[in-house]
Amino acid sequence: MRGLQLPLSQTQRTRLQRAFEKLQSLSSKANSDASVTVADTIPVNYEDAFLKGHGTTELNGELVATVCGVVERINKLVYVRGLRARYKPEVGDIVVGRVVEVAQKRWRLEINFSQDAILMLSSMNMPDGIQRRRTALDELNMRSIFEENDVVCAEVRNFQHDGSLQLQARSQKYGKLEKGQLLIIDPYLVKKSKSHFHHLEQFGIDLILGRNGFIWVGEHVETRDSMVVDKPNSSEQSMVLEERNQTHTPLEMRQNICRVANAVRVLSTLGFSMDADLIMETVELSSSLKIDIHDMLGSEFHVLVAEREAERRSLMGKRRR
Amino acid sequence: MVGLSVGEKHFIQGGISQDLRLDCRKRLTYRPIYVETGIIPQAHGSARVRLGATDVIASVKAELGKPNALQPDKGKIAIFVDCSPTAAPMFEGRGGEELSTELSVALERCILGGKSGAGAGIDPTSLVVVEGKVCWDLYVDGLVISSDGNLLDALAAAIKAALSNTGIPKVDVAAEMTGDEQPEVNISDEEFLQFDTSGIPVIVTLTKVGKQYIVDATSEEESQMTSAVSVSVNRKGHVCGLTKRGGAGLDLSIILDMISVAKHVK
Repeated sequence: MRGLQLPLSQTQRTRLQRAFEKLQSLSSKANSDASVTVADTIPVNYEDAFLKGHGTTELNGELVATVCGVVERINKLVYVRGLRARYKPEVGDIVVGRVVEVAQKRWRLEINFSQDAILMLSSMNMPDGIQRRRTALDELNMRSIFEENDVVCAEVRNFQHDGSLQLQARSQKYGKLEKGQLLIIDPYLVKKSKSHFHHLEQFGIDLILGRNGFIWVGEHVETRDSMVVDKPNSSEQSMVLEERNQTHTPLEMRQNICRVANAVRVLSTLGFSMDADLIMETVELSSSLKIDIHDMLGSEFHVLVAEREAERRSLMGKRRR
Repeated sequence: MVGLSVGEKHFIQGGISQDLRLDCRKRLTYRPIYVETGIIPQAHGSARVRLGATDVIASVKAELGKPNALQPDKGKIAIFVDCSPTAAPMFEGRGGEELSTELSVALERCILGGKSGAGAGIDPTSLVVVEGKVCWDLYVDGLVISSDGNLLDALAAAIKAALSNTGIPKVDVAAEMTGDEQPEVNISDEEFLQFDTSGIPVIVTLTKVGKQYIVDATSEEESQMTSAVSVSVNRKGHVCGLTKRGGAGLDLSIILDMISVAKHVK
């Protein structure tokens, strides 16, 4: 466990230790030999032909790991997947990024990858919703859609031949994210799941789990299909925008946003995979125990969450058997 | 420092005006502070302070030197802060120099008092060995490892902790000295003179965002500030120093209000 920078009293430390041991014993069988650190030998059958993948090297006739991580085997390929590595994108992933540059006909976004991702102007819906060729005027007005430092949600489209990433934001659910906060966690904590957009009804909050480790928690925004919008509504909308600039998020929603954000922070400190259900459970745990939002970042709550998770997993294991 | 979009800035300002910041602190709540002392064994005193993600180290080294001719009964103390490039990419090379000098000057003012030595937190006369000839020079160095807002408060706390951890070696002065000769001194290996740090003030920085002030701003909140006032308050509740940063002007009544808030927070 990476050094938890929390002041734990003796009892809290023992409780946390026990919870982690329980979790480890419950995890799947191959795990104990799977995690390696640098210069550990990788257990492999040397008679079979195998391919040496990333993170391995041959030393003195033995296969040795060069990074700390988990050993993965796919057919004959043996490689070590680093844990604290940068995000490794796959086509179709939902990512949340920040615009760093507005370039010719494209935006460059930072997504915690080795290179900045590119969002082409043509991969973005026009504000009026009409499908048409992008003209030079559109190019000049790119700033009215996204500016520098805006937070954007998009989907990975493909890789270019030079290794850079292309994104697309063609659906209504993608686009600029406002009225909320961005949390940065390790990318390996967000696993691929059916849906990365979660609308938490009872709080009225949007939770977007970007696979690159950027998590957005914010007020719920109605995804309107702009094609259906007709003229009389547009003036109303521009007025609503002005008002929105004046009014702030109501206090209760802000408290909910803070609670969810703190739940995400606690789970990332403990190293648990992010899952909307898990986050909701943590939030419910905190509100049922009447823990003050600020205390959620204290050591007591961390220990409680770890114990709860250990219990939950043991229950799931028992149910399967 | 990562930029913030307009929506995020609006969110932060809204939070502060509603007394619920990004990590759910109240306006006047500090982040949890962790202090470790004695981390650098070669220095005479050292401390490391972590305030959220802000991480600073302070170390104290004492050397024998000659006192200033104008003030023969006082020792010398120098405070210097260095912002390491690991804290932020803009600190690489000469980038961090402006911030370093600003912090050093602010700390010297708050802890060492004015030019005449009035209102100092440390009594320089306790540093003298032989009047007019030999005195201790204290070099206090601060290093910023990681910056997430509120550096001044963290550095002041680190310096206070380092000084409380400092042990100045006992010095034996050989007898028989004439006129201008430098006396012989024996520095014993046993360090035993501890500093009295009860007089050293603590700095509270209030950052004004919109119409409200907050205590202990993170770097995102600091990017939104219009101005900041750092008040150094000592144990008795007296104000030892005042530093104002930021371009916007402040009404006098607001400054007095902020000072009283700082005393209250302390």
